[in-house]
Amino acid sequence: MPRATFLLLATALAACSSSRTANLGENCTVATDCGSGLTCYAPIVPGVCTQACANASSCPSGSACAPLVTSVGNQLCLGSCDSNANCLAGYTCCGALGNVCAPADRCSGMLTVIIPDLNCTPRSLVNGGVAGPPAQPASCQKPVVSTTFNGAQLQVLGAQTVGNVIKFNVPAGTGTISILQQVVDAGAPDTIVLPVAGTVPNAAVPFLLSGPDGGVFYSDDVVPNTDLSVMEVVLAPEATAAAMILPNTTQALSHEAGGYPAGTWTMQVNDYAYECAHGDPTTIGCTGGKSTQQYDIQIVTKPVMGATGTLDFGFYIVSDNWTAASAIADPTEVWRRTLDAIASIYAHAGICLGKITFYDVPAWAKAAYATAVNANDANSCGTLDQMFTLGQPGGAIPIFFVDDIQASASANAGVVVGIDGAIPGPPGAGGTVHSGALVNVSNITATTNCVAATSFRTCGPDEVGYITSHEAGHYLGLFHTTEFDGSLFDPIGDTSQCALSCDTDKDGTLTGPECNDDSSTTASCGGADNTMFWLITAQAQGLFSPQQSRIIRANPVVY
Amino acid sequence: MISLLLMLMMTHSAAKPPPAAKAPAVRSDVELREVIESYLDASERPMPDAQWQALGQRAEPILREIVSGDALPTRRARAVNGLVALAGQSTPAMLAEFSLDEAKPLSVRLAAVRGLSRLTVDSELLAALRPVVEGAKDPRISSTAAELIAQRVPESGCALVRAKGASDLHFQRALSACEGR
Repeated sequence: MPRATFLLLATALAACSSSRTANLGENCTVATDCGSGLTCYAPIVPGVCTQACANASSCPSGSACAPLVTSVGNQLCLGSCDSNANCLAGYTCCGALGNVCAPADRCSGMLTVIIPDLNCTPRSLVNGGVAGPPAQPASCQKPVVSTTFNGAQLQVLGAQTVGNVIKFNVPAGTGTISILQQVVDAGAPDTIVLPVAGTVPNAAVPFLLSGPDGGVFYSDDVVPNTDLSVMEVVLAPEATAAAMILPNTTQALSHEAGGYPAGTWTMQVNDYAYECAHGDPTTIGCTGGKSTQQYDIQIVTKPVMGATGTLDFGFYIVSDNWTAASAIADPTEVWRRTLDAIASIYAHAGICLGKITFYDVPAWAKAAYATAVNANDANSCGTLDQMFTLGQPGGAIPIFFVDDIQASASANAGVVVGIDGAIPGPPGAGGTVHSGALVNVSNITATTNCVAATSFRTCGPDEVGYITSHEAGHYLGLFHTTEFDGSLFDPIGDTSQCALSCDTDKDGTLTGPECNDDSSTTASCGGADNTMFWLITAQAQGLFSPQQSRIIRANPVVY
Repeated sequence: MISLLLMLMMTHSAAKPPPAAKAPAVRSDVELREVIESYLDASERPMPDAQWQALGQRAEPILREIVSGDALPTRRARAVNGLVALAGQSTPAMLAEFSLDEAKPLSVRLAAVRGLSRLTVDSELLAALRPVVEGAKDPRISSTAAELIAQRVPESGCALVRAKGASDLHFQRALSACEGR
């Protein structure tokens, strides 16, 4: 059968026998309209009966296996054609997909990913104007930011001196507790010096956190279990502004059923400089101690999370190649494809994208940060942290898109594609020195190797979407499932790990092919398909595990 | 301060020290290319020089091919990083060419400028980067070269930096590095 006649014949057959089920290539409304083994692909009405395919030979004569990411599969058998005349009404003969009949809006090579089982309202794109002061501040900025939350969800405890024991209320049914410490009047040192570790950030970390019955949820003097997933909370401490969010471990998720213990909780305000000044045994020999600094404390609680949620993003355009307006208008649709990639990844966590606000930054900020951020600079007054202070208030995840990012330590220098400001980021508090994540946007126009199916490793917009999702995952409290050398794993029990024993070429670095055994959730050499693997590899699929998904949805900024 | 133990282990920033160099157990050119491709995969940390050097000079032609291919710009830039780590004899000349190649992506050109700086001794740095400062049309490229000059050889280089960058915001960092010189 000549391929051009396939759909015409199918249409004719359909017209003659309305009571039977439809064949491949015939119109349908729902899957039950189609014959055995077929499903209804219906991005427009009427849809068309089709089936997933692996290659050209797996489709019936007269049809072809087209790369089209859908809820049915990543490739579909669609009728072959030479011209639109060969196609059903509403369908076009699509050369980009290999001369198959496809809905016209799926024929651009920049295709919308259809997300199964998640009824998201369409995301909105908003131009937020210019973020940041018109002139570069003359001094280092360490602002104290009020979170976007209010009412009973927010408890503002104000400026508290280190060493103070403070109390706050946890209502019944609380599934999330967020504690935000921000240094007041820049009064704390940025670093202290330890005999063993050298100069380290002066991390703002509670010394002790206890529930109403005295049960300890965190102590800074307790050695962590080797298996971090059994801890109540795991910290990656930060100086100046730091958030602790419970839950971020498998153990903490056990409180989901009834919520965290309701009542009055206590916490001792603390940082490393205070521990140093007071001779904590873990700081013997330190220098840089201080005990008069104050931190602004804000507590946010949130009821036990649901099965789905919505997330907003703030996109800060710190690139000479784009403005907020040009990214929103974008006739090349690379930003749409990037957002599609983010949406498809977060759909795995039951998350819809809500409002995406694009911001410009002042000319001085573009000149200062577009190509000059040093990912290795952990100083609060360095380029990375100071750029984050351009962020606007609100609950959107702040993503700063720049043209280049360098890690510039000696013997470890080179290009990186993204970096987070903190794990987790301060929820609902845009504009602190850790409120954001940085994404290298230089690949977004590299569409040469883009096909209809998502390709995180070779298609620029998909890759930028993947990086954005990964960095946002850090902001929401997720760690790498496996670090590059297998020395550390995330505190989540249902993510695959990839131990150093998986390093088959013995080079000390765990790569995608070495961490690609996901035959089970307990596989010892898996995880490369997970969004939070340390590397974006050919095996990347943008997945989140169920427990990662619950931790994301528990974050206060998810609504 | 027990949380410090975790902080030192977790690599949410790229500040973790590089691992000890180990030569991968590579047997064929195909396997070598696979290792190189995996080293180019995007991440939040660069591949340490020692890791590239452990691959040996056999990696150089493969990296050159990738730099000039159609892979993503950051992937090509990481290939430049690899070439810089391998420090082949002809690499500086190649980097100088890339720095001024207006057809190359920004990421590749910036990696070339920075790499050229790394491979050039102070006494020759101004001569190596002057053509970039004066000739690159993209101010992000020329200002990066100017900043490297200002940081390493301010005495001989700041006159050039001031002459080129006095009215361009992109040169602010370079000009700041020249203040008082």
